Amino acid sequence: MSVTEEDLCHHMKVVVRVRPENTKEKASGFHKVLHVVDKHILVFDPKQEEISFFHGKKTMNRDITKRQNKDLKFVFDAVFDETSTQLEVFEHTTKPILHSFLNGYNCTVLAYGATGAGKTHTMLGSPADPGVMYLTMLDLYKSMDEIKEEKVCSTAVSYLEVSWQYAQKGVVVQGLTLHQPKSSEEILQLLDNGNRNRTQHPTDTNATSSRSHAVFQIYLRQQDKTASINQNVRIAKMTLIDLAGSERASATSAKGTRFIEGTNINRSLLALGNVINALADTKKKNQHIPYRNSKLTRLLKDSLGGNCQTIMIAAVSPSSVFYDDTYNTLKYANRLKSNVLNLDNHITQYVKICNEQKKEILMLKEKLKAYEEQKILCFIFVRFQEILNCLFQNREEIRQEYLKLEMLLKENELKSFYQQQCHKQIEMMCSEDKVEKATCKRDHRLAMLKTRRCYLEKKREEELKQFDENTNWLHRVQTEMGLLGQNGSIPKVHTWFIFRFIVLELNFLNSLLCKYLS
Amino acid sequence: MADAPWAEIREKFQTALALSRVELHKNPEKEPYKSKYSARALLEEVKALLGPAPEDEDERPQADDSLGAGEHALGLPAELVEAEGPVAQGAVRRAVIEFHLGELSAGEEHLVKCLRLLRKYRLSHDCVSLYIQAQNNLGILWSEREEIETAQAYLESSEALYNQYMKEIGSPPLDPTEHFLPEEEKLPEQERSKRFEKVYTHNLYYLAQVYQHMEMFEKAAHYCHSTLKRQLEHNAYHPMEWAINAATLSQFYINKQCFMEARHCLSAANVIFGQIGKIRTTEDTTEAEGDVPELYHQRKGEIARCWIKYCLTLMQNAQLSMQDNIGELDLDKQSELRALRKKELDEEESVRKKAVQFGTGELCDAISAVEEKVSYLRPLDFEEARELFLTGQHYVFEAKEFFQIDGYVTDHIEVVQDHSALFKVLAFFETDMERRCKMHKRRIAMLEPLIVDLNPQYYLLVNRQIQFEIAHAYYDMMDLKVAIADKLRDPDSHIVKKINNLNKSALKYYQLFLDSLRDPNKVFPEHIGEDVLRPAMLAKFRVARLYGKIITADPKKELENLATSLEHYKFIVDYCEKHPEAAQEIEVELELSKEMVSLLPTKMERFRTKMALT
Repeated sequence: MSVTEEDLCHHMKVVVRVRPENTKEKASGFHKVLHVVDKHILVFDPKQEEISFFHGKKTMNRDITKRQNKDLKFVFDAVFDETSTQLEVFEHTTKPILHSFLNGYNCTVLAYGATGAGKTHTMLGSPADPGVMYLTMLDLYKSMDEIKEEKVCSTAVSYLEVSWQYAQKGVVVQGLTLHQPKSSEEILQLLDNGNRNRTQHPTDTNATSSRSHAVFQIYLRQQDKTASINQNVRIAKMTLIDLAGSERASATSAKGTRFIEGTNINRSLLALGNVINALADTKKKNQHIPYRNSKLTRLLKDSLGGNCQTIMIAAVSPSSVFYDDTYNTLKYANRLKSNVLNLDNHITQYVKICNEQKKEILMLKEKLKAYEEQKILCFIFVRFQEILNCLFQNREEIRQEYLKLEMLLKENELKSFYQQQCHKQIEMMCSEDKVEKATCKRDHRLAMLKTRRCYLEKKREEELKQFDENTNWLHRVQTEMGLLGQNGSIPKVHTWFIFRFIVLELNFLNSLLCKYLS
Repeated sequence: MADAPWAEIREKFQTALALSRVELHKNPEKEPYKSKYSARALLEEVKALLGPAPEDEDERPQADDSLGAGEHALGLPAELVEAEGPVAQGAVRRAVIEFHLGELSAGEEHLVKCLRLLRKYRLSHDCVSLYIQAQNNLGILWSEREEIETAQAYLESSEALYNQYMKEIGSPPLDPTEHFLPEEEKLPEQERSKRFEKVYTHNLYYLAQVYQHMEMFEKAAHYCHSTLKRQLEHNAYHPMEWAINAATLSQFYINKQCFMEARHCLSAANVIFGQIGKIRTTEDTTEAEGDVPELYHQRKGEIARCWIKYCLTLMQNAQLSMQDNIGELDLDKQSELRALRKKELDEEESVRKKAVQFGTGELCDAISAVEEKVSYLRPLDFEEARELFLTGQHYVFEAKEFFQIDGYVTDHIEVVQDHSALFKVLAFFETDMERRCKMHKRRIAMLEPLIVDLNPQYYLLVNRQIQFEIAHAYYDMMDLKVAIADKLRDPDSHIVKKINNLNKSALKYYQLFLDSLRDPNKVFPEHIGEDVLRPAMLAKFRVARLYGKIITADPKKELENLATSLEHYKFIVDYCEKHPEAAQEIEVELELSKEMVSLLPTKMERFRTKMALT
């Protein structure tokens, strides 16, 4: 069983602090069961690398040597090793959420762990080495000082002790006092009072101390200094909790043992509900687990949901003396990581929408394709038009040329006719020699005209050939367009073509007519 | 044995027993275990008075493995055990003392010694109960050392011993304390039986926990079930506690899709809960919880909520098995399941029913009567779904009676959300689109007022959930209206207007959700938190789609909508480029968004040219 990183979450941060071994632990030869790998990972009960030379003769707890090392890897938002200072812990826990707090979000910092694992040290500390609560207040007052130009800030703090003994009848709050301190000194004084009150309790397995929690709450009220009618008031609550020891109560006391986290068997049938509760998988959404008196949850109810920023500091001891407690604390802390509301409960329907979107994209693509095709058609259309224009122009030119040639031929004919006539006149009126000369001249002329006519006729022939070729071209284009026209987009071009053709032919006929008439 | 020491022994034993039962908090504050220590001292004295164990010499051969040796001892013929019984009286007494010493100081040695002393007589009616209890205690002891397999072995051995004893002998055995009682004070048969059965019930309960810790959840559930069953049989239960436990167990069965078992648990919970105030049981009632009316109503509400989940899950389960890939009813699958069901009905039911049945006689009939009103089979058509829906809705109303918005905000909202989910799944079975639309409308009608009442800061997450759900409901309605419009020859302006209104409402709620992500200065975060990343991206994606779906005749507006749509698609693509870790959260949507980002500009371009032309 190793734990992966996957469900580290945004709203709740879980950090672990390992306290140094104390002299007693060091002296009595207990080994360390925690190995801090880096700032996020720690290994519980790591595999022993060195093999003991004295097999089994080491002065360790019998059952520890007997069982295999668990070698469990845990990943947390932060892991503080034995050498970490109070300031470091503060920097990585409360400090980042102070900003949210000033923005009006509720914040909670909890210390959890077995008695003697360093919770109180972390939260309250000693006068010489003050803890998170103290440092938080210091920083808060500093921040308030910075914004005092814009906002009126006021704070109230309460320090209370919550007793678990009467959980059935609700949370009983013992000795609640609400103070409105004016300065940081005052608040520190207050904390110090509380600190002393707490430390008066003996912390070894004393029954009362392990059944109550110290809760320090800071209320912050901010008001804009602007003189508008709409006065924005922002109120936030920061809760710092030094939880009761998590070590299990004696097995025989039936009530109050519901908080057992280890593998220990619960003897009281009254706790059957816990077993059944644990069977239901909390990660599944589709079930209701009747609300049991998990007092911690009740206390933290509005701290764990919503937009509250919650930080849990799990305090553990590295010594094998606290093997079970440490293991339980780590397990609990690890479970807390995944115990947050999540939003993803609309997945099934989602496939539908994605499918629809896919369909839409396909449709769009098709449309685009059609559009592109149309563009190509247009292009073809234009191309055809160009070709046709060219052909028609060519045709007209040929025809013009033909007409010109026809005209020239006519002229030639007329000229030869005229020569003949002229010659006849000369024959009738002139002398022999003159006639002979004229005949010679006429023959020469006629020969010239004839060659010219031959040339023109040849030219005309060529034009006709070209014309035929042009007609062939036109027919070819027409069939090609007919082929394209089968998918429906060409008819327009086709009509245009025919129209154009007709116009051209008419023009031609017209001009021909004119020519003949003239 | 001389009378004087025997009387002294008896007296000391009784005092020790009484002392060991003193509750911890009655001890002086600084010495919470004072009574235990005194008890231990007394027991040690008694042990000394009993004298040294006579058969110390034959301990040797079997000393190291108490369990393994026990195995073949189980095979001893009953007569042999009987014959040796009286001889061992002293040993048994010593064993009882060892047992109590073991219990007090978690002393493994004492308990093992106790087992060793009794091994031969474990099947005799003098010793069987003690032997089982000693084994159980060893089980507990090993579980505390986190050696759960060893614990399991002891407890399973106890279970086997009980079964063998009941099969081969069956007469109520002596209670361990009787060995220190004068003859005339010996317990009657009935009391003996009751105590012995209680020992076995505990045995099962411990096994349930062991299996639980070993993550053998089905086995654990089975043993929890057996424990509950035995509590009923021996009338050793507190009705409220029992009902809640049974109802909770049903939630386990729901997850395992054992709906018949779940229904049985819930029905039994209803019946037993109905006993509150009518039947007084003596067992384990340290506090009369039933007297607190608030708690009574709360528990009633809790059971109702378990019922809601039952109806809802059963319906959703049916939906899952009958829907096609886009979440619509698949007729082939439906008829397939119909054919299957006929078989199912005949075969399993009676066998499975017997296995889990709670109670006998009248109680059993009462439970059956509740069961008959609700099906445990997945609904296959609208009629069947409707039946379940109505049951679910009935419990919704019941749950709401206690979990009112004022005072139980989150609970109340969860119930309403379930109600909405019931409507949603019922809509799946409804074929008429207009009526389906109305169901979604009902959902919106119950969810919208919640948002108004909730403090958006304190109930941020709940608010977001509801915003999402309302947005989805509007979206579904819009889809349905579009489908209806598609079927009409010529959709009129009325329906178009309706579609657009639904579109707008869906947009509004997605936007509300997205706005909730903004920081107090109303700036959308550069980096979206992991827990809301996927929902945020989905909302963006949907908003993009919705803008693309607005129906308008005004080309200018259409172009605007397309541009807005593109903007949202672009956001998704850009965000994933900047935060590559986000890409894997929304693979499909990202792919689609990328395509849209490449396609939409051309579409818009074309649109513009068209506009220019006309």
